[in-house]
Amino acid sequence: MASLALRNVCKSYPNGFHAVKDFSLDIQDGEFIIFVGPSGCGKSTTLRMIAGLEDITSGELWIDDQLVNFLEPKNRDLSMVFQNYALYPHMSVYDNMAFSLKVRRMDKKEIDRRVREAARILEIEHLLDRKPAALSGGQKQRVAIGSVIVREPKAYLMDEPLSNLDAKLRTQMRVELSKIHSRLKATIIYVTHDQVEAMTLGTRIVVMQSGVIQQVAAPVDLYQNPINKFVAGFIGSPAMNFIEAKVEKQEGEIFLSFEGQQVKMNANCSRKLSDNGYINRTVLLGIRPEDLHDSPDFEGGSQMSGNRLSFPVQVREMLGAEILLHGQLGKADISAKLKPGCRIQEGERAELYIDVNRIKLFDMQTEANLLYVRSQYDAKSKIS
Amino acid sequence: MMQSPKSHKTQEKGLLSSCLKKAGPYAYVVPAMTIFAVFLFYPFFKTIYLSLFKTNKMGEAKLFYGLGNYKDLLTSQSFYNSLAVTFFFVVIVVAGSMFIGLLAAVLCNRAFPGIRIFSTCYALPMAIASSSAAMIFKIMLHPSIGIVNKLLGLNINWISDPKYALVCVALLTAWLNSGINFLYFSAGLSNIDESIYERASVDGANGWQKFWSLTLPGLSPIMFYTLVVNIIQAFQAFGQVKVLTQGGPGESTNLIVYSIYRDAFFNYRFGSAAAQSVLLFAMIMALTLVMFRIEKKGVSY
Repeated sequence: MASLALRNVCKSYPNGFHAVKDFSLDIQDGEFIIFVGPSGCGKSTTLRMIAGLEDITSGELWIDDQLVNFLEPKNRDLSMVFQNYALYPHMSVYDNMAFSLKVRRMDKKEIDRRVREAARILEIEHLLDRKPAALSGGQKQRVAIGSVIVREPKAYLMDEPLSNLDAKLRTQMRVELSKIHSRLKATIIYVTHDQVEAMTLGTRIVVMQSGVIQQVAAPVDLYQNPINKFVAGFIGSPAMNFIEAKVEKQEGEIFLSFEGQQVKMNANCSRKLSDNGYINRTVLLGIRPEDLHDSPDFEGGSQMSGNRLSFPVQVREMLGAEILLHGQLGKADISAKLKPGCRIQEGERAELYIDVNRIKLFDMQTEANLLYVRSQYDAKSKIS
Repeated sequence: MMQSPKSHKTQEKGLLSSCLKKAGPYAYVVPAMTIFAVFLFYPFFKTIYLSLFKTNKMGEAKLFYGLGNYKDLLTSQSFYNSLAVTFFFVVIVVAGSMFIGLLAAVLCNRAFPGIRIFSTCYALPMAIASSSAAMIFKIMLHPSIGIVNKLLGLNINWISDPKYALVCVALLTAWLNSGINFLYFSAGLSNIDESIYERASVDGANGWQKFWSLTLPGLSPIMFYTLVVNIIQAFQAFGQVKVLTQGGPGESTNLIVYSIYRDAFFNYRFGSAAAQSVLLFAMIMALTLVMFRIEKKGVSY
C-alpha cells in the first residue's frame, strides 16, 4: 500500500475544455477516498489520470515518493475496477482474475492460491469456469473486484463500480466493499455520483464541481459543516432547503425574515451575522428537511419553539419509516422529513418547528457558508 | 365413412388451394434457382459427366472412359507437381495476406492524422484487377529495368528463375488479397471493447501481451471466416499466373487451376481437365469441412 499526492493537477483538452482545474490532494496510506460530484465534474477524469489512462496536462502526481506523471499505466502498480467491469470476454472467470498475475509471470501455484482465496471471499467459487457472458450483473461486479484484490497493488481505483447494479444488490455490495477495505487495509480511491455510497464508504470525501474541488472532509463533517451552498445541497437527501431571508435587528435580537415569517437566531448565528456586517442584508437560509419537526420535542426545541416554518403542502410521500412533505414558499421549494406519526395532509398548511441550532447561512453572492468552521483538512491542504 | 357429393367438392377445392399455398414459397426461389442452375449446377454436373469421358476438340464427350481420367491423373508426375505447387502457393498466399491485412488493421486501429489516406491505401488492392496488378509486378520484377532489382542492388531474374517464380506470384496474390482482409480485420477490431485494453494496461500487460491475450482472441471469429475465404480464394488464383508466368518456368508455377485451363484450352483434353476440377472441388470441400470442425474448438465468440 502507498500514499498518493496530487499537486495542482489540471486536465484540459485540445478543444479548450478544462475538465479538472488545480486539483491538490494528499491521500494517506490505507484511506478510503471518495470522489463525488454530479456528472461531468471531472471525478472520473481525475481517477483516470491517476491510473495513467489520461495524460496530466499540468501538475504533479506522486505515488509514495516517486513522480509518476510520465510512467506507463502498467508500471504504476495500481489496479482498477471499471464502471462496465471490462471483463475479458473470451476468458473464464478464473483467467480473468488471474490475468494481472499471469502477465507478471507469477508462480502458477501462487496464482491459483490467490484466485481461489479471492473467489472464496467474494463467494464466486462456483463460477470460476464460466465465461463473463454467462454471468449476471452482480456476479460480473464480484469478478471485477476479485480481479483487483488478487493483487496487492499500491492503491485500488474504482470508477463507479456499483452504478450498474440494482438498488438491493448495491446496498449489499456496499457493505462488502466496506468489509474488504477493513480486511485489506488498502488505499482505495473510489468515484461515485451516489452520495449514499460516498457517505457510507469513505473515510474522506472529495466533493467536486466543474473540475474544481469544493471540499475535502470526513463524511460527518461534510454533512454538518459544508463549506458552501453547493456541498450543502449535494450532500443529503432530500436536498437542503434554501430560502432567501433578510437579516433584521430588533431590540438587540437578530431575526431572519422571509415571506412574512420570522426566525430568531441563536447566539452563535447572531454573532456571525452582526460581526460580518450582514444586518439589513439578504442571506440564504439553509435548513435540512430532517431539521424540521412537527412537535417541539427535540434537543433545544422547547427554548426556540417560536421558530416556525409555515408552508402549504403540495405532495405527501409516505416512505414507511418516514414521511416526506413537499411544498413551496415564495420561490423556494421546501421539503420536510418527518416521523411516520405526522398527520399533516396534502393541501393543508404545515406549521413545522425549525431546529435553529442546525441551520446553515450562506452569503448570497459567494455562496460560502457563514457558519463554516475551519477543519484540520483545510490546514493540511493549504500547507501542501 | 360416407361422404356427401357436396363435401367432396369442397374438399377438392381445399386441396387445390392448399397445393397452391404449398407451392407459393417455391415460386419465390425460382429466379435465384434459375441463375444457380444455369451458371452453377449445370456446369458442375456437366464437369462430373465430362470427367468420365474422352472428348473431341470441341469438348464433346465421345468415348466413355470411366475412371480412366482420374487414374491417368493419379499416375501423372505433372499432376503431383501441380498439387505440390498449389499447396505451397496457398500456404504463402494465406499466411501472407492474413499477416499483411492484420498488421495494417492493427496499425490503423488508432486515430492519427492521415488515417484515412493510410486506410485507403491498405484497402486498395481489393479494387485492383489481378491481371493489371500482374502487369505492374512484371515491370517491377523485370531483371534489368525493374525497381526491385534496382533498389536491392541484385541481378535476379525473378520470374524466369524456378526458385523465385512461385514466391513472386504468391506474394503478389497475398498483397492483392490483403485488402479485403484489412477491411474484415478493421471491422473486427472496432468490435472489441476499448475498456478491456485500459483494464489490461492497469493490470500491467505490455503491448505484446495485450495483442496475444485480447486482440487475437477477440478477432478469432472473423479470423476464421477470413481464413476459409482466403484458402478458397488462393486455390482459385488464375489471372496473375496467366499474365506473369504462364505456369512456367518449367512447371514451377503450374497451379491446378492453371493446369486445368492449359489441359482444356491448349491440349484439348477436356476430360482430364474436368477430372482435375472435380478433384480440386473435393479437396476444397474436404478442407472447409475440416476447418469447420476445428472452428468449434478454437474460436471463441
